[in-house]
Amino acid sequence: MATVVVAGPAVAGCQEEPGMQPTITAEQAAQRVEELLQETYGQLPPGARLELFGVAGTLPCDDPTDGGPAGRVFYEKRYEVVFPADWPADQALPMLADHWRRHNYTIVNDLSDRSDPRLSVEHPEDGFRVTVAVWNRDSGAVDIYLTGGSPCVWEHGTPDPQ
Amino acid sequence: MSGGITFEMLLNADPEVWRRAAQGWDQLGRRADDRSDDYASSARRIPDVWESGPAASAAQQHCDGLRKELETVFPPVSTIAQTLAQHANDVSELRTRAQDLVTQGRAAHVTINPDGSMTMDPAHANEWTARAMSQLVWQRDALLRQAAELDGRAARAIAENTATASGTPMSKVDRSTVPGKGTDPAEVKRWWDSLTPAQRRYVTAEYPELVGALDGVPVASRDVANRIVLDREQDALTARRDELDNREAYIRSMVEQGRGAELYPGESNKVGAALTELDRIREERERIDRNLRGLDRITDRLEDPDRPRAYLIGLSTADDGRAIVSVGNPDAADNVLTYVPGTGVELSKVGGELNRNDHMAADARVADPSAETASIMWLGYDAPDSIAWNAPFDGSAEGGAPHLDRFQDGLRVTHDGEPSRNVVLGHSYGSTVIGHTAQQGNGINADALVFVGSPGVDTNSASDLRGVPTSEVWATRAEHDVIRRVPDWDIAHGNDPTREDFGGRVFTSDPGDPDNEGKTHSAYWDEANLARENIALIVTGQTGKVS
Amino acid sequence: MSQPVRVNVPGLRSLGGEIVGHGTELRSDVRSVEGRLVPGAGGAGWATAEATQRAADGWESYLNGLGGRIEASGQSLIDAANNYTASDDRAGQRQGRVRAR
Repeated sequence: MATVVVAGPAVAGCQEEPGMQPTITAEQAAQRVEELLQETYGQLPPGARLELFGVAGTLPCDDPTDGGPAGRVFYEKRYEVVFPADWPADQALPMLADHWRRHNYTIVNDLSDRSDPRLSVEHPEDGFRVTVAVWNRDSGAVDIYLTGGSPCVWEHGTPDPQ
Repeated sequence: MSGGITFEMLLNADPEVWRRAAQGWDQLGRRADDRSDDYASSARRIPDVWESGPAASAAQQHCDGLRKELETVFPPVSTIAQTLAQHANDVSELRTRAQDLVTQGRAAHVTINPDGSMTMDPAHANEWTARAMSQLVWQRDALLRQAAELDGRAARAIAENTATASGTPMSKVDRSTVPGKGTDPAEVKRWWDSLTPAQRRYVTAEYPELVGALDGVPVASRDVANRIVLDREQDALTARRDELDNREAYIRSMVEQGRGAELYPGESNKVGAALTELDRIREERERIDRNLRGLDRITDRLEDPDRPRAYLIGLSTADDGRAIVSVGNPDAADNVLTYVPGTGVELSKVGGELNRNDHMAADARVADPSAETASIMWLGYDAPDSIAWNAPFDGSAEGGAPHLDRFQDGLRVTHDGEPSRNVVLGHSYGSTVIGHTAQQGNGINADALVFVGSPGVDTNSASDLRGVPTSEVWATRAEHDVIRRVPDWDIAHGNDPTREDFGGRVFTSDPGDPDNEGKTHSAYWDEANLARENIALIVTGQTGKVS
Repeated sequence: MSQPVRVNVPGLRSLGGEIVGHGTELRSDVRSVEGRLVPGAGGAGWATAEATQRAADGWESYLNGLGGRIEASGQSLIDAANNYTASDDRAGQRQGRVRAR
């Protein structure tokens, strides 16, 4: 019983509602993600192309446990960077890091020193995120992915009556 | 058997052509199923317009025969669709491995020609290169053998489901011989193996609700059965909804005409009776609408041509509803993730969980493109509505445990070839269900457990969890996850499994938002959150890379 | 004398038409996937492709046949309705009056 008493108010405390503000729609979020990814792609050495990887779509960004409004989503899209054998794959991440630094992106996660380096940043104004992840496979192959994600938005821009 | 597969075929293989063919068969199956529904509804009305006489009964009988025939089209046709979709995945994996081999060869100064023949770089013609080349030859041959085996298996499955002039034969199996709910999956599998293809088609078409729910029946067949169940549930709920609408309209019109009293002749409080019934109608309709919304989401996912094929492994609309949906076929996969969602998840909210599941499947493919990973959204228990009020009492965990336990056993039993790496992941209260399951009997049938944002897993020590080594008990909790407010008082679910004294392995997730702890509780799947990559690494068995 | 047959002739005729429609639609369903059931040239060499071609041939011909039999079953209801009308008309003419329908 004690758990109920303690957990109850803690959960209820999240109900003061930043989430009830209108947002851009999921469709607009998708456009912005695409724009950011294309901009990122534009910073890469020429000769590579983007290939959609996995599912582009929304994910739930709230959880009923937070007691807050249900129904918000965030949009996510991932591309694989496909490139020829002589493409300077090792320069991709440093070039992007440089670009993002110059444009005052906030660093979310910097794992650029890792054997499979990876860097996630957030746009300084609108909170959209981009991740570049480089995987050095056992076979010697290198795979690079660009992922873009939006902040939490209402599917149709306004709180869902659901 | 096809002996004709060449290395060149693997390098140039195009999974898309198979995927498109699978979609064609899917469309054919769905259309045939629609015709079957239409025809059944017309045939049912024959007695309304033609009540009696030998000609009428002869016509009725003839139409019943055709209706039966139409009903039998869906299972074999969708089995062909499934087989081709799986073949697309296989082909894609084989191609990746063939390409990897070429890359590996390049690094070892061996050129692998498109036809599979190999030449050493003359500048590096030494013993090392020779050794590398013989290793590559061995790998190439193993790859070709596997390709031939997969190809042969798919071809056989399709041949078994090919229609002759009289359709696909079915042979009757008595309902009473179908193993009951809760039967040991190994026993179910033995029963299934004892059936001929014609008998399997019969039980799938005739008893889909039994076959679809049975752990131990191969996933591909459960999927076909449950798709039939899904279609029926949608029809039944829609019909029931219409019935309620009509009844409501009738009550209202009677009341408006001042004839409300006629509705409840035996009742003393007639207005009260009318209001009670209207309330009941509204409640039932809301429940139906919620369930229908969930079923629609599942249908959308199953029919989405842009996503990897999904398998419907379980479905029910009882209570808050249950659903088990897999991205990819776990019976054929190298890695199998079972994702148990947390509180508040009911059928109507299944859409978000399905997306989350899709993303985890894609994450696993990024982490290891050479392996096939199936990801299962397992809503096989009645999740409590809220963590604050219901979750501290373990009723749901107890209720869910035997189902999850049998489900995991079933995955082992029906898996083809080498055992897969099976990982069970619970978010929030889902982790409690897993913890509870792992403490019953001989524990849980899995290679690893992952607890994400857990309120506790029903014990204070990883060593109490049976069936998995403690080195494969993983947990993460974001610094600002609201769940930390659930105190470790040992009265609810057990302590936080990320505590050092719990004895599991803790992995990183992003700290989250100190001003929004509720949101942080579900932020583990946010883009860029390290938790997601770590989950993918655990699922694909690259545990050394987990941070 | 046999039992009087209770039949709603226009209802039977329209139900027959509806059933003919289901058969026709089934055949058009088959046409709509024609050529899309097989992997085409991209499948060359795979045993699965050959099996799929045979399956497509088998199913297309079976379902077209089934569609035809469904059409025939609907047509037989229409025929039955027409027979009732015809015999009704003859009976009416013998008695010197034609029943209005």
